[in-house]
Amino acid sequence: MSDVYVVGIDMIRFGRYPDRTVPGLAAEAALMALDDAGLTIRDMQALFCGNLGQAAGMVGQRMLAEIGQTGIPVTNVANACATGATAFRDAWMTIKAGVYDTVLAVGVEQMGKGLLGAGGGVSPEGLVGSYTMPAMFAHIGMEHSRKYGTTFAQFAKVSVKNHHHSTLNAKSMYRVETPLEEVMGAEIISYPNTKLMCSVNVDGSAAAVLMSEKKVRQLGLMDRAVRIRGSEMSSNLFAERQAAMPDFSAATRLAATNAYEQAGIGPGDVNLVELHDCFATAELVHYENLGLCADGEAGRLIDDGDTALGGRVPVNVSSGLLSKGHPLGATGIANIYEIAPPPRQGRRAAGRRRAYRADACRRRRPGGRDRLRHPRPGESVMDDLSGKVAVITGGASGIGFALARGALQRGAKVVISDIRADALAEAEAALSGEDEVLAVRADVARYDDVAALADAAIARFGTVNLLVNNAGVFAAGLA
Amino acid sequence: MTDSILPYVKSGDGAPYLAGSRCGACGQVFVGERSTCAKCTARDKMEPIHLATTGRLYDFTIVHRSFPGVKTPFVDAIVDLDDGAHIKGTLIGVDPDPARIAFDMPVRLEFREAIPVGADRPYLTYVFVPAEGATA
Ligand SMILES: [Zn+2]
Repeated sequence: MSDVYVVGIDMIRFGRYPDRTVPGLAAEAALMALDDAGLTIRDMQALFCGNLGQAAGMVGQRMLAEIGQTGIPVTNVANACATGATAFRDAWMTIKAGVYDTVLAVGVEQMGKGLLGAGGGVSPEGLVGSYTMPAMFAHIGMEHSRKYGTTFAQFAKVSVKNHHHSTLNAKSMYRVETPLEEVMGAEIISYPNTKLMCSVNVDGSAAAVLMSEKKVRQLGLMDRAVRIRGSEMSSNLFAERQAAMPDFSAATRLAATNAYEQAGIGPGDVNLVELHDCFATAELVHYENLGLCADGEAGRLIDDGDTALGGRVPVNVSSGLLSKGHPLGATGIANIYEIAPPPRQGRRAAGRRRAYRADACRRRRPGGRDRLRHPRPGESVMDDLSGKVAVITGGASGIGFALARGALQRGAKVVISDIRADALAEAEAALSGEDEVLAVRADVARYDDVAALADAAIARFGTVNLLVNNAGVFAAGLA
Repeated sequence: MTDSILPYVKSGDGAPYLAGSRCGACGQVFVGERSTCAKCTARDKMEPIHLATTGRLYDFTIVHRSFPGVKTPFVDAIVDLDDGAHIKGTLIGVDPDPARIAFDMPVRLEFREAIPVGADRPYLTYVFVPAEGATA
């Protein structure tokens, strides 16, 4: 069977588009993915289109009516929150089977307002428990608490982390930091999930172009192609309580186990994870379902920052469904977009995350277990700063500027601060390399400025390894 | 006669009960009437039973936001009935406060009539209440 590659993928920025049509939203993402691959709709041999809200509405065919009716087979896919991922997987299977070489997968959704799960007519809601999605996903968190003592704060930290990641992603619906107190103090929707622990209800679309290895080579696209090492899907194994409380773990565990086997790796080999954080409780439970930690250790994993950007195995660096948004049919392909980003698109945030990922890969290479490489005899620890983040105050001129240039030349990412905004802008321009330099105006005599400097450095580069406190503070300056 | 809110809630001519099924092959107990076992896949081995009226609280969440017209907060409870069935219901008679609700607390099934959201007349439904000896 042929290996299958992603040669083009993209997503629109999720948001609220009540004036657009579902096929129109799908068409936008489809054209973006085709452009990313450098191909046209004429190159596509089949289309799989995922959408839930208009599952009977022939969305795929209507999308082709907008971007080119070439007569290709269209399969419309509806599979709950896995709708987009299923469209992608179906496209993958047809290439695996040798039926097609080039297939387009699209996911799209235009969401209504309000809580998911509402139906019409007489409802047992409230009289016989709750049938809202927040309640169902609250239960999996509470069950985890019951088993392992997981706390409200530990669940809330998932949102703190993913909202923090959102500051790096221009395609996030929301891009704001939310401190722990704010997450825990927000309106409770279904305990322990507060409003800031529920995914964002938005419209959106995402699309991917999948291709057989033979075709990738024929078109010379191998330098941009991302190989799919495995895809698995499961339904639930029988679980005692699933009729009373849906079991979201059994199927996930089964699919993960099979996917690892198909890819020939184990969870310890994974450097980066995008998972379905429809609620903060879900992300924590999925750490264990995916084998990122042993059962019962998910709370410790979030406490230790292991799943944050810069941690052992960053999860949802995209900011996840919690910030990026969750347009049901598009979500699955949007998650893949984060893992297999379009190399030709030079967005700064994507570039930053890619740079980080490369760094994470280096750290985890066999034989490279130690995060910090120890200097060889005669070698200064300062000779190689690759992957390190240096903060240099008073960096706009003089010694500070020279230190910043030196650190950059040794491979570091550099944050310079200075009290003089104009000098700082000049220095930033002179240092070039926009992805490696961040300039922040700060008066080091002001606590708030210093805190903001630290926040900006971490938001941009994920960590700080080196601080050169070069800015001079004189007694007069403190008056 | 009053309609019931869900098919497994039976009026029983004035002695209401919850309908269940027990698999004659593997012993699994299910809520509601059915003919095939989801656990062992046996067919035509199901015997209809009346579900137990006592059990323990396995899991809960406190619902503060629900569909329009539904009064909140309320406690959504997952109860392990003493006959092995697992069932969802609303737990009343406790403060809707996670610090005041204990996993495994004993609960008892009670039937009552209530007007559901979207309706203009009462339906037969059930609730869980703390059983004697419950700890909070
Ligand atoms: Zn059975």
